[in-house]
Amino acid sequence: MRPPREDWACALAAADAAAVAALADRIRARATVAPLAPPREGLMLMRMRESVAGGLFHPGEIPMARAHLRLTAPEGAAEGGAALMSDDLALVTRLAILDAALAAGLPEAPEIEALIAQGMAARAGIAARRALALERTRVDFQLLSEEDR
Amino acid sequence: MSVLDLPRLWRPETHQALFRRILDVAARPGQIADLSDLLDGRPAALAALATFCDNTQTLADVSGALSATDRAFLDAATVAPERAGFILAAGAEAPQFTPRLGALDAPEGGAVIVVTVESLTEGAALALSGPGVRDTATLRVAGLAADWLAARARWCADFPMGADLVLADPARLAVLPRTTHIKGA
Amino acid sequence: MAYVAIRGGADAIKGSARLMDALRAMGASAPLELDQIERQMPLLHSRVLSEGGLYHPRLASLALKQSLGDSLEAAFFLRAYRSTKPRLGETAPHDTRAMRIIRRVSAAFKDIPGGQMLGATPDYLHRLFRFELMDEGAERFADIARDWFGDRPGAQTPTTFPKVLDTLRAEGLLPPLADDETPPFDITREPLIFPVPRSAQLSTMARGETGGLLALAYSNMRGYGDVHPTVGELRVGYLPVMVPHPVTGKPMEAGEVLVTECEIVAMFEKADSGAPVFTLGYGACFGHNEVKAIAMAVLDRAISVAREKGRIANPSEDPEFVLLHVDGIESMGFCTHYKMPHYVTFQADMDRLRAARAKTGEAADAPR
Repeated sequence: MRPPREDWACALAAADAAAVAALADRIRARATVAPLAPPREGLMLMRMRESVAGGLFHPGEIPMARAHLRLTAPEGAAEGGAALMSDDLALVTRLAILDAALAAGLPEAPEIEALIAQGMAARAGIAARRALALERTRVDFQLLSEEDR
Repeated sequence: MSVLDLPRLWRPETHQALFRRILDVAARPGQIADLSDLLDGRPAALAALATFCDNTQTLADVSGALSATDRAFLDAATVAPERAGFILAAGAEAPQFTPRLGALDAPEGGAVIVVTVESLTEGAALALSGPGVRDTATLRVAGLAADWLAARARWCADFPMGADLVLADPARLAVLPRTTHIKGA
Repeated sequence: MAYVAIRGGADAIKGSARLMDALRAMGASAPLELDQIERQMPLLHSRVLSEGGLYHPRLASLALKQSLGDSLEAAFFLRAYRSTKPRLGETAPHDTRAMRIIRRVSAAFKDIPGGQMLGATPDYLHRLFRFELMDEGAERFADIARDWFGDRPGAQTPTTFPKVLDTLRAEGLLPPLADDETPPFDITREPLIFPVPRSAQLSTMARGETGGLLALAYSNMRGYGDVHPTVGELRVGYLPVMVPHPVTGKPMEAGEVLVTECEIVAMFEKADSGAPVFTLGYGACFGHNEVKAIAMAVLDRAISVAREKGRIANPSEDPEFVLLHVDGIESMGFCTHYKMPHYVTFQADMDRLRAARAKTGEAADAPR
């Protein structure tokens, strides 16, 4: 079962970087890629909702790189896009190319899906390690009672 | 090369070159900027907007001349002409809106209106005078409805408030800042 | 005070820059790797992330390395860097209930939904040196990792938890949260001209210097103030950053930011009815920085107390006093500038002093 499209980019960003780059570049070499918006990297103000009065504020800025393009290959064409907390325009362009290629159902789709699975496993590993840390530091403070004294 | 090639019109170095030329003709009303070497066939009006706009600006496309891709590249928020910092309008159609004119203590809030015309080398002769013009200068414009000059006179009557016009034929620009006096208009 | 340009010193300044590098490179130790700073000094690294106001872990490590460990200078590097980058916009509002928790405790409530998890904290340990840390090798690191993880892949339990205060709200002990959609004040673009909205207050403190915030909050805790806080919830975790997918428009995860958030509960006697009422304070910042989040929450409450009472009784309750003095780059910058040449202005002071002394001398010598 293919994961939802919105999960592809963060999964690919967690997979083997060299393999992701090589696959994207191989697709790019045999297709035309045209930008649908200027590929940008810069900063975004992060909006957070404070939980005491429900108002919004900015804890600070975050890096963001974004790409939106059209990929046209002999087998098919599709729009592709990706956004990543990064200043690496090359990486986010490659993620957008893979996003388009998978959406278009190009012959490389199984390879892309394999990298997505690899990335999701890496992310699951991080989540599992965090859960382990929580489990092993879970505390149940007991108030001292008269019997304990 | 892993980053995409941007069309010439959307490259920062093109915007720098365009900005210098627009600034020069804004400082010398009556002079015309020839942009043909920078445009790669795109319209001069779009080049002006590409120079002015980013995601902090507001834009009104009165005659719907912009494509979806051009709007995405301009990255400005689309609003009604009464509220826009930048307006794209067709010179052949009389303006049906009142643009932002700024305030007495913030006259820079007045809109910049990019008006597409047929030609800046032929047509009716406008006699210009005022700041940046030695004595008088003549600007020829074809395809600008008469209502535009009357509207401009109304908008700029309460100087320093007013709006500034950028006239654009397919490859050239001329600027009519609110400080410029047009004889008979 | 008029400044006059100084000539000369170019060679000395170049020499000074090279000397900083030479001091780093002398001796037998290997160059610091950015990863070492982020992983083995994460709390110092977190300070720089939040005080710089830019969540860029790699550059925060570089800033600490380049500034020779000066956290104020390092934060300055991040601020200078961010001023060179284009602004792409603002994200949609992020709710910290989505945090992937790594630490979550409450001092007010013993039993909270989901439980309390200490995470990695020295809070309960004695401050006794572990001298064996003086001589660690790579094999020791491998042993530590193996001991902790063993062959257990990890747990499957959830890492997101509801807010403790939400339970109080469900019971009606706290007013319900009204989601206020007022766009937040942008302190990176607008100057603080008082009175400022609460969003400006929270943003300024979120990137405020930890020591400055702590000192002001401590003054309130010690008695120059009225806030008697209990930590309702302190949570540390990774908040996923969601932005619209360029094609589908639906939220996609672009990354995660480490955030520390503290909600304090304080009691406050309402003047009219006399009945005490729960009041809250909020603090949150990038990175793992508990002292800063708690201090921020105390100051948030202190400023609100003064506003509710209509009277500022202590410096920590005065938003102008607090907000104008907690920015590390502003305060450090002004302090540092005193070392820059002030020769002409000081010469003017010397001349005035000599003239005044001469006049006093003449008056003393004059015949009566």
